[in-house]
Amino acid sequence: MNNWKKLKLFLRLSWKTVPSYIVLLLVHTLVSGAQVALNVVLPKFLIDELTGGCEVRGLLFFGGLVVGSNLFFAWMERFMKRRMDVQHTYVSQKMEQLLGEKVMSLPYARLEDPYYLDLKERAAFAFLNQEAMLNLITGLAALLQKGSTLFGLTVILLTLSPVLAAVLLVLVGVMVLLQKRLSVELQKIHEMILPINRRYGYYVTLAFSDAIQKDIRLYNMAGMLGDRIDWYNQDMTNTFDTFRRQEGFYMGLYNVINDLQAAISYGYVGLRVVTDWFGRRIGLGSFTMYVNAAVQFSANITEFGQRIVDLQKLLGYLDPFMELMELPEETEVLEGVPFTGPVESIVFEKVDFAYPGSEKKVLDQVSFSVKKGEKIAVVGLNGAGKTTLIKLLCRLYQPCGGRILVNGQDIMSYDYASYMAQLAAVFQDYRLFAFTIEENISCRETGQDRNKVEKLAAQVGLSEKIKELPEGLRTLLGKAYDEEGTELSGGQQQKVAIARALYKDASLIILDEPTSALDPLAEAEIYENFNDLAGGKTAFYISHRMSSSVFCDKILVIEDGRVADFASHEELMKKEDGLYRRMFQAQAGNYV
Amino acid sequence: MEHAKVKTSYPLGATLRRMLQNAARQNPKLFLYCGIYTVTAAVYPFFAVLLPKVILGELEKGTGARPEAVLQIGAGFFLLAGLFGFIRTFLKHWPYSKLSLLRLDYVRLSSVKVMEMAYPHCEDAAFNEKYDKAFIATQSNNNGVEGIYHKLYEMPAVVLTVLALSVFIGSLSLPVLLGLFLNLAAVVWISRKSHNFRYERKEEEAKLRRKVGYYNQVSGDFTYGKDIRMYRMKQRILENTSGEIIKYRNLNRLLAGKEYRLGFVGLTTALISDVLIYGTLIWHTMRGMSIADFSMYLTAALTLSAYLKQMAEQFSFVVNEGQYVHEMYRFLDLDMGEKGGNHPAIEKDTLEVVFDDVSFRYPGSETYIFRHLNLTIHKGERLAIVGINGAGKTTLVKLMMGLFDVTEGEIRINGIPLREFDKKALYSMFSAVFQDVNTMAFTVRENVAGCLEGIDDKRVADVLEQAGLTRAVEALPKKTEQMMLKVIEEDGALLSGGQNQKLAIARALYKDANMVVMDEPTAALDPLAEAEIYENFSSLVKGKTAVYISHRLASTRFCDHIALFDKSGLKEYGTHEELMALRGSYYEMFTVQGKYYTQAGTNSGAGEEKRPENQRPEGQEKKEQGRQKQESREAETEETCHE
Repeated sequence: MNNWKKLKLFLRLSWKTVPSYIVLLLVHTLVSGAQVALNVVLPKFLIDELTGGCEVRGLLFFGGLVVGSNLFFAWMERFMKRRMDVQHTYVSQKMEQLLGEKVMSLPYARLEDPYYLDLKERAAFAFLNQEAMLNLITGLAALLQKGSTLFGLTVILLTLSPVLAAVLLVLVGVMVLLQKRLSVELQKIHEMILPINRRYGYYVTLAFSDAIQKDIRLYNMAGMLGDRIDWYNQDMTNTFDTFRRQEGFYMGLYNVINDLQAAISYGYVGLRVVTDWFGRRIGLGSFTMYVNAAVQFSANITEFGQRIVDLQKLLGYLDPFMELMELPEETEVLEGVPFTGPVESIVFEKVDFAYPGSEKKVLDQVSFSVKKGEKIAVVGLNGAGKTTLIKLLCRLYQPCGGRILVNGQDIMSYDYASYMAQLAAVFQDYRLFAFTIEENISCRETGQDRNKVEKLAAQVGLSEKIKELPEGLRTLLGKAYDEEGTELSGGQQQKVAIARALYKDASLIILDEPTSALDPLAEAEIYENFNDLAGGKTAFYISHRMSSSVFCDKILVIEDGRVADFASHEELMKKEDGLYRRMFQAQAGNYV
Repeated sequence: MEHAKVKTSYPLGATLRRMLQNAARQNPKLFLYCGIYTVTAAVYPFFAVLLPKVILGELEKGTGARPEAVLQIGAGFFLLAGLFGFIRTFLKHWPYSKLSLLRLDYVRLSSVKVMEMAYPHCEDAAFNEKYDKAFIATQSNNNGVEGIYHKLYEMPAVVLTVLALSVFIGSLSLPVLLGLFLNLAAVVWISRKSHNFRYERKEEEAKLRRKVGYYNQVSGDFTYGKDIRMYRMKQRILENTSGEIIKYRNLNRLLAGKEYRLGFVGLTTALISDVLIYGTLIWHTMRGMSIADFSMYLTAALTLSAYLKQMAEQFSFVVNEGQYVHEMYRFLDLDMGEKGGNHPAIEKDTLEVVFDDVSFRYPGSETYIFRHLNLTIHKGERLAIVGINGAGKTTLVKLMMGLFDVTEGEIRINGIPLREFDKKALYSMFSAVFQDVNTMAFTVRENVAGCLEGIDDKRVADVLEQAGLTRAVEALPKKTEQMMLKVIEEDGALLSGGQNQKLAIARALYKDANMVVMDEPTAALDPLAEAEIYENFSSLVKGKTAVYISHRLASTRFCDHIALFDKSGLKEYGTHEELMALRGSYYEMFTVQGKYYTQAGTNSGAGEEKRPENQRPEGQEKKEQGRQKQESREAETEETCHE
């Protein structure tokens, strides 16, 4: 994406989220333009008065005007700053929110694709360490300000001599070329540094991460990580050092051209005072004005150029953000007939599946059918494809071949939201939110259907814990959002997640290793109550605890992505060499 | 008053001195660059101040003015300013990354500190908040350590220019100079005032930032994706984020408003200063001062004003950011219990661990996890620690390995009180395997050895063999040199859950410590992989004291003793047979967990109603089958690794 397009997209997003900011930006720009014009023009009158009449009244008037305009613009600047400071942070945060909104609106399949994970992390990077977004916003404001200043100065210079303006502009052209060179170098460095930076970030984050600290101490690995960080420190410094040297060189030349501009301006305007070679002679007041205009022009153009380079750099950092924001969203992709439920039947018809970008078939010709109200255990070794099967059923992915029929129709033909409304799942890596326990279960604002929440909490065995908490069901979960929140143990969190799935008025319920963090007694309780809890709902149940499958009507054994067996526990136990029996006995052996 | 108070709240001088000493040690050349930069940068502005004077001096001659003189002046200016300007600019940019390195090195030191401080800090939820400022100090190029280094590099030149211009203007008119300094004082005062105002609200700001941050994290975190979609949380999260952002904006408005109001003081002094400058210069000109001098002094006064502002900004920047650097130094200097006692590690002997009347509660918590716990883990014994979640099983081993200190009582290892051991020596005595395996982005051999150099490759090969990983590792393109994970190298290897756990076991074997600790190593594994880990257990613990923690009871089969914990502490202790005979909690748990296996087995008709003894041989057989299966499964994962 080129820089213009990126800038346009950025401005469009700003306009969409915070229109008042764009207005403010324009006002700010205009004020700056006016300020510089007055600063350059007013002293002329003062000097003319000094060299001419030297009348006290005139001097007081023009002196007062200069001082007064300085005062006014100083106030104006503070007035604008007050608003800009607030808006800059606000716009940056709003942009980050947009990023979050985008992620939540993407088709789920993207979320498991490492490319998009990487893209998202790079996009979020703009908001974290580099604060690229904030710098872009402030940089853009400064750039516009400089732009309008330059415009004002150019107008003044043109009234004296288009030739001088032209000469200065030619030199500006040279400066632009230098900038261009430099930004090419910068781009090169940028491409080199990004992967280094990401790797460096990994090791530093790792060194600071809580989860790893036990390992680090017990295996004395602080040195190993410290060395790695040191290595990257050197690597980054060396990479940047080359660039900084070039930057110093180009910016030095830039500085020289700047001084050349000043020399030419003084020389030319000076000659206009003492000769009539280039036109009518001018007075000392005008000399001061034009020289000031020319010098300011040079100074501002330098900064202008610097700002452009910075902006390009920042837009570079924003690349991943922009790319992400352009991705199509889920709702745009998926529409169909409303699914009114309840789930009456589920049929997998020769379903094939491979993850995007992978050749390996995770599911291979999977066919089976389930009737309303049946409780199905899905078992298999790690990596057999159990969770993938569930993801397909939840429409988080599309099958590569074959169909999944619910109530006789391909699930992909149903309207997404109405289909999802009939499903409730506790995933292996379920997440709870920093809301109250009640809200986590009901997924709604507090206070609705409290009885149902309480009943479910009791059924999954949470009542005792809730009674212990001073705020009961209104206890805020986790400390990530608020210090005052309460951290529940893994088992308790799992119970909340189960209650949440049961609360949802769905006719199909899916539990993926729902009891891995529960202790044996709590686990047994969930198993035994599960049929009651699930009621007439159709249910899928994945677990490594083979004893849990005993409670299910049928067991779907998945082996290397294929259906190895689909029958009741009793029947499967009769297959001496069957995978199911082997797995069952491996655990049962410990208890007999 | 305010100013003085803030200045003394931390030792600015000492902080800066230490920073300079560090720079001198790391890269003394920086001082040379800075010296040359200072000279050129301090001289450079005077060309611009003198140029109008010289040229106007010529122009004022009226008809006597020579055009070639004007051109000569222009050319002379260009040569001098160009030369000095080039050197100045070059030396401003070039050392930038060398200054960055100084910060990066402090990042390294901070991370090493975090990795070496006593473990309880790692579980202290308030840790980040407590040392927030220390970490902010190394966060970016523009603040904290590096921000100050950049300023220190530039400041001498600014100060020199300010001094020279002050003398220059002061010699013409003291009031003008005083006006400029009055204005400077106001700028500094305002900056301090608003900084303090902001500082007082630091906590509030941190809280709001955390809340906004939480929502951004959740909405951007892909692992939340399934639940957000399944339970339709998107709208809710977006609304809440908006709410928090508005609150944050309101705080910012308050801060900006304060700064704006304080700004009126600055406007007043700026007005006074301006009136003095223009008034004095006009007055002098009326009394015969040349326009050339008028122009020169005006330029000088405006330049000084700008430089004073710059100096004030740099000064307050250094004072403000110095606080973070000071916090960083404080953090780095703090004794965070990295050392422990002085006793060296026990050599060539396994361990006996005695818990003598131990009570423990987590720092800052009121609830005791243990009260008056007495337990002896005998030399060479295999102890299974079982119990429900939250009974303190993991806490027990954390105490034993010195990750936490007991609140009361004493733990002794081979008769030596645990607190007397050097921490590193203590850690070196345990080979531990945890539930959550943290394979890191290092090569296989580095992961196994836990270091980068001096790796014994023969031993790496041996322990991989013992852990049953040889085939999987041989299948990797670069064998033991293979980088793990995809984060560093795109073709890095990903292992399955079971293989990762085996890698952790290989690491424990390589370490070959005095004692072995296994903390729920099989929770995430399938039954066959689990069975295999159990088998590895015996090779891992050969002749060593070992503790195996689990909330499943399977572990009790291959352990000599069982310690059952519940919320009140150690509840039952003995052999499997003893505890079954006791008919207490262990018996209950064992029956509940085993119930469905045995029942189901009975129902299927293939099962066995009889109790242990005659059962075992058949169980053994099943394990044999399991192992065969395991091998074919590994063959299949090889393919995955090739990808």
